Formats: sequence, structure tokens, C-alpha cells
Amino acid sequence: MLQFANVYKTYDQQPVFEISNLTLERNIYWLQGINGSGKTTFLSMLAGLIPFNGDILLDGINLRQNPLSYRRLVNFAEAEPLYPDFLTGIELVKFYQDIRKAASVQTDLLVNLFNMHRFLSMPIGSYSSGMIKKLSLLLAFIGKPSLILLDEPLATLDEGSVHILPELISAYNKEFKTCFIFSSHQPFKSYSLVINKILINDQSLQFIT
Amino acid sequence: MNISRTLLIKTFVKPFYRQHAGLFIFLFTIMFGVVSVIDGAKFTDYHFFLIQGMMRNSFFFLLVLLLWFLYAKKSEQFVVNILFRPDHSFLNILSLLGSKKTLPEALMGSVSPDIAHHPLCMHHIYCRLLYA
Repeated sequence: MLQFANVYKTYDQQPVFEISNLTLERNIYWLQGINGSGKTTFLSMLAGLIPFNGDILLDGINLRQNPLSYRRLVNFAEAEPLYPDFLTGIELVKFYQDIRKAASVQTDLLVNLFNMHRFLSMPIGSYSSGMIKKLSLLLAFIGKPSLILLDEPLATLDEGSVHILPELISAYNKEFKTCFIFSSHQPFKSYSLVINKILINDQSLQFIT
Repeated sequence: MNISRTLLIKTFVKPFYRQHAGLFIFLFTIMFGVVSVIDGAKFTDYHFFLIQGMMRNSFFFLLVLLLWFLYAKKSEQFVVNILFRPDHSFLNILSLLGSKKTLPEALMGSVSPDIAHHPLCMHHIYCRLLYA
């Protein structure tokens, strides 16, 4: 369960959004809003990457009071991920697997699902933007986090991966009760997913029915 | 080798030595290459007298400490610059390793002295072996 209490964020003293009181259950949420509405800011804030005012609690753990325990529960895939050119994909996968104490069965499955095994031993400098995006998504699914944040997960993905992603989200939500919050300008089609839509508008979050 | 250590060596250690290769070649040339036998003094005596000079002369000792401090600050800055690079943001995940320190503190305490002070440690070991 994700709880917000008197959360507000400003940039250069300009308010981005304000959430006085909100509770999100472990469901799947699609964050919508125009460019510049604060979707990436909201996700970065939830990932514990940028400062904000107020309190955010995940499964009762306060991000401000216990940032380490909070961050252990959250995985985040950025909209435009960047990695050092000289590292290989497999090094990053093993690194995340080691730190998140994930089983190699899980990472092998993810590698196969994203069809990444052919590229993983190559340096990331030789990857296309789509392959880097797939790698960042793969890394976000390693482990059993309570919350996975995906910023524009469909951008630059090939058709195969676009179809896999909703199935993967559904499987994690059912099996691990993982909560998902993602932003996407592209249509997110899946008949197996029950998606709650949230609109960021006028510096506030509104549920769309 | 542990994958985290391998990754830290690739992201911090190798670039550090690559970037500072010229400085190390210059220093090793000064310390070991250009020393010749003068008045019967051997090559090893040169290092012995250098160490004696550092320990006996306060000004020389303070100068060495100052250079050491500047070198440590330079290596610290190198680590901080890497941590703030957008393509190295994945290193944030290292904070999940369990240390109560912040990521830069943890790296300062482990990686930076390792990578920065190896040449100094090597010189120390060399001198200890000579005069053990």
C-alpha cells in the first residue's frame, strides 16, 4: 500500500503538484498528463531520487525516515536510460541480480522474454536505443519489489516487447502483489490487465473512470 | 570475483589509472628511472635518504603531507564526478547494499583509497622490503 500525506513538490518556487492525502492499493496505475505536467517528477519522487515535502509511505515504511528500507522495495525504469558504453548487458544483469538477491532462474526467464540473450555479452555502446530501453525494463523486473515504476516503458520498444510488457506486469501483480505505476503516451492495450488511470492536471492527481 | 567489485573496478579504477597514466609514468620515472650512482651511493640508498629526509625534516614532511592531501582530494573529486554522471546513475543501487552511509561516503571509504593510494602503498612495500 502506498500512502501520501501532505506531499507537495516545487521547482524554483513554482508548485508542480500537491497531494494532501491519498492511498494507492497494490494495483496497476497508468499515469497520464500532458508534457511538463510532472509525471517524471512524480515517479522520480516515488523512487526516492529527488527531494519533496511531506511523507510517502510504502507498506508502512516512510521514505523520509527510512530511505534505505523504502528503496529496497522500489524498482524504477527511467524514460531515457543511460549506461556506461564499456559495460556489457550481462554485467549489469548480474550486478542487479546480486544486489537484489534475485534467483538466476528469474533473470534467465526475463532475458528470454525480452529476447535479449543475443546482445547481453556485447558492450552497451553497441546497443540501439530500443535495446537499452529493453535492458532497463529487464533490470526493473529483477527481484520481488513491492512497487515498480516505469517511465514511458513503451517508447522505442519493438512490437514483441510491447506485447510482453502487459503480460509481465499482470504476472508480477498476481504472483508478487507488485504495485505498478507507469506513465505512457502510447496506448497500453491488454485485456488481462485492470488498469487504474490517474491524470496529473492542475498540480493534482485525479482518478479517471 | 564478486560482480559488484568487478563493476566498481571497471567504472572507477580503470578510468582513474587511464586518466592519470601520464602523472604516474612521470613520477615513476623521477623515482626509479633517472636516479644514477653518485659517489658510490646505490639506487636503494636514494629511497632510503628520501624517507629519512621526510621523517627528519619537518618542512619536507609537511610538504609530503600536503601533496598527499591534494592527491587524495583529486581522487575524491574523480569519484564524485563519476557518481554524478547521468550514465552512471545505476550506481545508486549500491546504496541498497546495507551500509548506513550514503553512497559517496561508502565509496570514499572503500574504493577511493584503494584506487588512489596503490602507487604510494607499492612504494612503501618496496622500501620495507629493502630495509626489513
